[in-house]
Amino acid sequence: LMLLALAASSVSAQEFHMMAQKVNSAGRNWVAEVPTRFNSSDDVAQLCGTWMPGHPKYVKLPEHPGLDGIEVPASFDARAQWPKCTVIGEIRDQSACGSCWAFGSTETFEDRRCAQTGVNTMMAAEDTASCCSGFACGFSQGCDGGQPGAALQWMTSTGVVTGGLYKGSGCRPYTLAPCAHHVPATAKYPKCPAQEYPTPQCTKHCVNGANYEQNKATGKNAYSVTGVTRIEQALQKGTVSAAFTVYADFPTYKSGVYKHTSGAALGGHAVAIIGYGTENGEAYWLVKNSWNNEWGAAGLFKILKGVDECGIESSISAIDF
Amino acid sequence: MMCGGPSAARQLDETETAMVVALKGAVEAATKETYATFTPVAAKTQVVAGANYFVKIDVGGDKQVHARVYKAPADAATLAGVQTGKTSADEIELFEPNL
Repeated sequence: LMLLALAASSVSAQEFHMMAQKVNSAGRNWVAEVPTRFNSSDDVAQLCGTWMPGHPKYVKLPEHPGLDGIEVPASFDARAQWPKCTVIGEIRDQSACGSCWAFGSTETFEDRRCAQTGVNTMMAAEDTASCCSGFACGFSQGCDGGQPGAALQWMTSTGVVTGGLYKGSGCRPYTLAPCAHHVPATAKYPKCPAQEYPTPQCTKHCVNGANYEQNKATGKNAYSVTGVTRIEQALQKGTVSAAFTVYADFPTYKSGVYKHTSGAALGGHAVAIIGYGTENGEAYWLVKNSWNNEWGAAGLFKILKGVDECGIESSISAIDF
Repeated sequence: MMCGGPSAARQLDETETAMVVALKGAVEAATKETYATFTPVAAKTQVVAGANYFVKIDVGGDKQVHARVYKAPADAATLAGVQTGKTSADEIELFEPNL
């Protein structure tokens, strides 16, 4: 129902009733109901993280023209495809900051850079989160949200510096401490402080003594990818950035193939798709989250593939070198 | 998509309402007041590592408190900030933690 609603430019409450009737009478194996908290589909587009495809401020990059004809295997895992690119398997922690968009895009940058050029270096989500802003970055706003596609575009012009995990190596490692987003807290991840963190500042300074400007690396071109086969094709050259709507049941994910079953929409979230496959007859995308490696399945999750589950196939972007 | 950005304001469901009501003592301690009425009326949410909730809470007499709540993926919610002196006319907006 969400998807149908998003496909229309604006849908009234009455039309919601008609859509629900249509879905239910079509004999699908799921049931639609009229949502009680939406007056129109404009409210739905707002709920899913403010700037969804269709919103005037949403930045959609041009499609990549050269993916056709790339052969794809039945299942794929970027970590196995490029074993020397250990950056692909790194799980990060965005902390209690809405910087997912900087993580999804920066991970895609470093993963694809390694897959395509062999340079196995973590890049700074800190630099993207704090310095990619304004018109050049789709009006991204640090810890208050942003657009991964626009960030990849920014990385083709301004570029991003090196930087690893909290207290890690490189020019600008992440400055927000990781913490236990789950019980119990462990030695590795202490309990999250109730006092959280402001958006990091765009310092344009390397903490490791390197020259900031010289430390910047850029990609050649950034683009959108639309359609399941094309996403699979894009994965043959490295991981891709994805955005989807997080519902209240998602944070409790542990294993299996996630499908939204209950709970309200909490907002938009960005991640990196690193592969795909089939489990118990269900096709899935293999996805890297940035909620540390004690969350989910060692930091990863699988989500239903082929049906645009939670919008996961609707705003895919990538970058080449 | 504005990933990591605030949602539109909406009513909380039953589970979310219970989560906020459970923080009544923490809000009272933070504002140094006690409330006979404590009713979450609306919230904006934001996906972080888990979720932030920015909640309008009716505390009676057309007085409202805005609370910033962090819900870790599988941990109990914690209070991260409060704003007082609000009425039903005040929209809920994102604000920095202040506790």
